[in-house]
Amino acid sequence: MSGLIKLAGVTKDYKLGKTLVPALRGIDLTIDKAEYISIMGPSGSGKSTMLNILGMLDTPTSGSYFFRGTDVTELSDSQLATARNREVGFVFQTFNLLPRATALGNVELPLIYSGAGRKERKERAKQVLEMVGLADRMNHRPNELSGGQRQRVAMARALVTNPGIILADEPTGNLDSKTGEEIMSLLDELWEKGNTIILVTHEGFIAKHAKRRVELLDGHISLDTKV
Amino acid sequence: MYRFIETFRSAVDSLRGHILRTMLTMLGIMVGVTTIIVIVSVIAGLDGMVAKEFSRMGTRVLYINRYQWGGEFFRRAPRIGQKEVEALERVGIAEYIVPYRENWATLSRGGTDINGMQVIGTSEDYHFIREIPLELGRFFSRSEVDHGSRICVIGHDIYENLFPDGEDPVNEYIDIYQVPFRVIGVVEKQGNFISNMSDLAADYKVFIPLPVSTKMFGKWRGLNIMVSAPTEDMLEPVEDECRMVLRAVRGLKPGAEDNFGINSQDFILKNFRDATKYMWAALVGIGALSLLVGGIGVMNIMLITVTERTREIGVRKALGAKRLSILLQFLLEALIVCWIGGAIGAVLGFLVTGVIAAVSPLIFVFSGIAVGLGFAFTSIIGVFFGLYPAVKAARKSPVEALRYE
Ligand SMILES: Nc1ncnc2c1ncn2[C@@H]1O[C@H](COP(=O)(O)OP(=O)(O)O)[C@@H](O)[C@H]1O
Ligand SMILES: [Mg+2]
Repeated sequence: MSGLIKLAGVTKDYKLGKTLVPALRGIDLTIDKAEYISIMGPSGSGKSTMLNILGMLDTPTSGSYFFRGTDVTELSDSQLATARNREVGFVFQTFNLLPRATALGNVELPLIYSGAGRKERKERAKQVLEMVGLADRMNHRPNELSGGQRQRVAMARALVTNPGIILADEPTGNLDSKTGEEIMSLLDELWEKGNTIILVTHEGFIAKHAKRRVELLDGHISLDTKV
Repeated sequence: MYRFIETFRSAVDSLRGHILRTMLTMLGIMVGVTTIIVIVSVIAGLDGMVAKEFSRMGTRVLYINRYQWGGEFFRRAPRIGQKEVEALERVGIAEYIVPYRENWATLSRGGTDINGMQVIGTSEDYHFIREIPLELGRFFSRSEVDHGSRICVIGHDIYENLFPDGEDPVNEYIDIYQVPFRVIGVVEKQGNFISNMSDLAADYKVFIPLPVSTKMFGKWRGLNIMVSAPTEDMLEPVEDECRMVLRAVRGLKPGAEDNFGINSQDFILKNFRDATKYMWAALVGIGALSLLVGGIGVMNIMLITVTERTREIGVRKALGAKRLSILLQFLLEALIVCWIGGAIGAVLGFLVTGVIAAVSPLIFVFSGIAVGLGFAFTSIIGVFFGLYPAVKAARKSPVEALRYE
């Protein structure tokens, strides 16, 4: 079993009332450690669906998914939660920060679920926030931060458990191009430190940061190439 | 445990984020707990008052009567007489044996009549057993009883009625059944509203020596006998001995029913409690019902909260929260609301009870039972009505929850 991630014949159907909406129609994909992949494609082509499956937020309708050699489709709900907590970090287009918690509180959240002690949690969260350049914004709430700063908090949160894999779903989609570039250079930096980056985007100049490009069309992989 | 504290913290945080809603939710629980505390405390207070009132009959006194109180009255039973008194005097472990006879008569003095007053013919030991405190004068003595002196000790209301100008009644004469008696003592005012309804206070009674009473009224009403035990613990052995002695003197065969009654204040208190327990239970039920209404309020608000925070649930799950964490978080929120509401309700409840006790003869009882009941009920309500919304939250699929707008 080679590779960090191995999808074989993965399909995903959504039920909309009585009709089945096929979002993925048979995906075969292998991703190795320390890759930097962009997933591109038009709206509705299944990018988010695929990323959610990769991040173990969702499970395939059929096909197999091996993560570090483990069959993800066999895992229980609670094992999936643990895997999400330890193995992957999510970055969303809409940031998805808890509005009432401070930057520090948001970054601490994954550590609460991994059972880390209070002191250790604070230290680790501060360290990661410093790394993303928010040392002076730790006690601000999301509504006191700019879009770029919010996305950095979200990235700090994704990194705090040291997962090694960052899954980013259009992380620059809600940002202006300058701020977007800043976020992208942060991702580049993380990749250079040895993290695996999987980046969903529909913008070519964002995808250029990645070293491998996968294109989706209508639930199929239409292109898979090294850049 | 550690995770529990974190969950607790985040529950408190999110409740603080919605202060107004949290308080509205608490209101229902608060009212419910206040109601329960007030009801239970008032019941406990009333019960305490009644128990105190009955205890005036003496907590270590047995009443030997023709019939068992609260028993059947139609059963043929011989009157109690001197024979029984003498038999009981052989019960060595008893402290006092006091026979008395009750009659009713008109009292008069200087043209004022009061009708239907209770005339108690008894011995000098009566006021040791019943602890009748005297305001003026003294109780009669052994020799006065033996001599059959026409002297009396009167209750306070009788004194007020027959001596309206407040003159010193001691050594003055009043007529009982048109026979003149010299007043030698006045009993302190005893009455409150319960004892005036029952027959427990001495305010409307007049005490005279037993032989005088027998001469005037005859023996047809029969005697009653009070027997006191030296301590409360001795009451039962004394009762057993009295029963044995009485059965012997009446020649009852083994297995035959008693043809006399041995009563005590404890016994009527038990009867009273038996008679009122369903009423109390119904009142507590009403209190519990109001808590139930509060609980439905909690469930409603929690359902709204869960829906509103769908996205938050999605985020937490994406970051590694298990179902159980989410469930505990929302359950704890419901419980905390219930507990805080319950605590405020308890404080309010005791304030209200304190006020009621201050303006009424009710005895204020800080009822630990009420607090326990309130806490138990609110916790049950919190879990019961918080569980469904919490399960709903825990079951949400992370992807759906994250897509929720
Ligand atoms: N939860 C869902 N329920 C029903 N249909 C869905 C759901 N999620 C995605 N879809 C559908 O699946 C397809 C792929 O969606 P998605 O993966 O979000 O595309 P992309 O991210 O590439 O825009 C779309 O047609 C979308 O409408
Ligand atoms: Mg998408």
